[in-house]
Amino acid sequence: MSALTEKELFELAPLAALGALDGEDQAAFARALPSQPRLQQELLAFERVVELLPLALQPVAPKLATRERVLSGPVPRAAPRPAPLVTWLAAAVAVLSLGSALLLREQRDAAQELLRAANEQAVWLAKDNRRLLLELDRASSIGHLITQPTLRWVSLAGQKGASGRALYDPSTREAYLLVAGLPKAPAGKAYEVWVIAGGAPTPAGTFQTDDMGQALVRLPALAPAARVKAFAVSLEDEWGVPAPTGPIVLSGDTN
Amino acid sequence: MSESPRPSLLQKLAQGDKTALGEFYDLYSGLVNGMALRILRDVSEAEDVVQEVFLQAWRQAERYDPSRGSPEAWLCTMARTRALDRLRRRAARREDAPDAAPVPRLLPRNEEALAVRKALEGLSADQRRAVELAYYGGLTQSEIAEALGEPLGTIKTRIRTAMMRLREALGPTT
Repeated sequence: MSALTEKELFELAPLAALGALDGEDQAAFARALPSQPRLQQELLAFERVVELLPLALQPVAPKLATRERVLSGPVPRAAPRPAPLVTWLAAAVAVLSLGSALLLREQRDAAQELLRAANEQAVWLAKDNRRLLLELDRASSIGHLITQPTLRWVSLAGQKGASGRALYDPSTREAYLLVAGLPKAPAGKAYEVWVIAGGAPTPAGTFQTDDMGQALVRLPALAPAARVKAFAVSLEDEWGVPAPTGPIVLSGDTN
Repeated sequence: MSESPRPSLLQKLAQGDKTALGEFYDLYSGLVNGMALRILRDVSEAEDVVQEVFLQAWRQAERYDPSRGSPEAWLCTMARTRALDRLRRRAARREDAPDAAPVPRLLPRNEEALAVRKALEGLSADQRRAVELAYYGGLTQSEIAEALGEPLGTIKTRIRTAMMRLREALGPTT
């Protein structure tokens, strides 16, 4: 099967968060995820939604006996009764057999318990790992960028207090956009970044703002030898468009 | 999920404070039991899950990291895994869920719960059913399509649309 497009992968993220992917979709998603920070971010956002689902359930108090069992911890084993001397040998054989069976069952239960705990831990660690990798990637990239003597920045301004700053390094072509004061895009819409370097505006990815109206967006590498003249942000369809069609909400030039 | 002082209770748990275990149990056992009961529809099995989850929380409290999620999310992840394990074992034995056990109704506990309930009520019945089969039934997209007798593409679109609507309603989204 051919590789899925970014849009197709993003469409799988909600199903992945629910654990509902299977077959080739699951394999393709797992292959793409490690190398796609935006997809990881998308998955995390849906995983947060999934975590909220059980809150809608009505709490149902368990029986008091369950509380007592939990607070008393594992049930202590009953002490074995002493066997009469005359039946010692027969009892010993029986006890050994029973003991072996009990031991095996106990070991099997313990192994299953460990496996379950490991699986749960793996789910949490995988989620945590994705979040940390994203943060680390952003932090190290921005940290590197802002220490470069070749760093340039452009302030962007919009209406109703919206503002932004594009940071970029023409030598490495790395670029970031920080945004504040932009309300959340309506359903089915997203903000799209545009880089203007002489000709027509070049699309540089879509993003959503958080509840605070903020976003930190890593832009795709700027075109080689591009002399950036301006950055702009417009409101477009969710998956972006090749040329701006919606209202420009932020803009700023390099002069 | 909202910030709360509850992680400090977990810190006490990690230090082996049995009084804290009682408080922790009293705070969250209803949620865990409701979750297990929703999946298993069997009072006795659900309470076994409650016991397992809280004993596991007791053993693993020192590993809990609040930055990974709320205590509710942590406990519900454990409860869901264990309840779905039992559900699958039951399915393998071809046992049906007992009829007598009540399925918890959707009732709000607090503002956050109310928001989740409202978001779920904003979905169509088909969308909600598909999401519930995935989350509470542990079914994959193909299994849901088979269970509902509908094309796989339809199910994928339905779940995606439902999740997008939930995300919009519940945010934050990034």
